[in-house]
Amino acid sequence: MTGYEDVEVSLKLPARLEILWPLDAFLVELLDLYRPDIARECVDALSLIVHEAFTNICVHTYQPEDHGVVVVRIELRGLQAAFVFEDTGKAFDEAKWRVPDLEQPLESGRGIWLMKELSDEFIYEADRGGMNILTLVKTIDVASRAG
Amino acid sequence: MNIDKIGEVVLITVGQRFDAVVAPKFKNEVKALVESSFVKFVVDMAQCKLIDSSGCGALVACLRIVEKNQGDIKIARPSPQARDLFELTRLHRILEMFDDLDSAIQSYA
Repeated sequence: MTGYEDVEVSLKLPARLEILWPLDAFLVELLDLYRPDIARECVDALSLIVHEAFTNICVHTYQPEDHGVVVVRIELRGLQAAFVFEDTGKAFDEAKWRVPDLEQPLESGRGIWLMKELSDEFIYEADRGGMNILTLVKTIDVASRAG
Repeated sequence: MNIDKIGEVVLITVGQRFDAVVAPKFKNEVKALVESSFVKFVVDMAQCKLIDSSGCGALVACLRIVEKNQGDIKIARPSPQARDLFELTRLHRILEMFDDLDSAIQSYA
C-alpha cells in the first residue's frame, strides 16, 4: 500500500516532433499532480526516456509522408511508471543494436542507450500484429525530505 | 534560441528544451557563424530543463566543426539535468563547463 492513486492515460498522437514539447509538458504536469514528491532527477529521467522514445518513432520509424500515428500510454502504479509506445511504422531491429562507445565523441547513437540506461525495463516487440510496441518501465524515486 | 555576439564570442542561449526540434536549427546557426569566421562559442543552458541525445549530438557535431577552425564550444550555467546528462554520456570530458556566464566568456580572453 503506497497511498498513491494509480493513473492510466492513453494519448493518440501524430508522429511529429512538434508534439514533443506538449507531450513533455503533459507528463511533467501529470507527475506533479499525482506524484508530487517525486525526485527532480526522476522527473528528468522520465521526461528524457519519453522524449527519446517519441523522437525515435518520429525520425526513424515513419517517413514524413507516412503521417504516422503513435499511441502513448502512461501508467503510474504506486511507485512505478510505465510508458507504452505503439506505432505501425518500420520496425527497429534490436538485434543489430550495439552499445555505443561513449569514449568516442558520437554525433548520434545515444538515444536507445539512454532509454535502456535510465529505465528498469526496456521491452521492444517488433511487428506484433502489424504494431511495434515499446514498453519502458521505471521505478519512481521519491525526494528525500529534511526532518 | 537566442544569439548574441560579445566581441569575438558568440553567446547562444538555448530555451527550455534542446532536443530534435532545436538541434537542426542549432547546427545550421553554428555552421553559418563559422562560415562568417566566428569560432568561439558559449552556450548558455541556464534555462534548459531538458537536453536529449539529439541536443548532445548537435553539440558534438558543432564542436567538431569549430575545432577544425581552431575554435571551441563552452557550456555556461548547465542546468542540473544537463550536467547529469553530460556526465552520464561522458560529454563533460570534451565540453568545458562554467557555473557563470562571465567566466565562460572571459575564458576566451
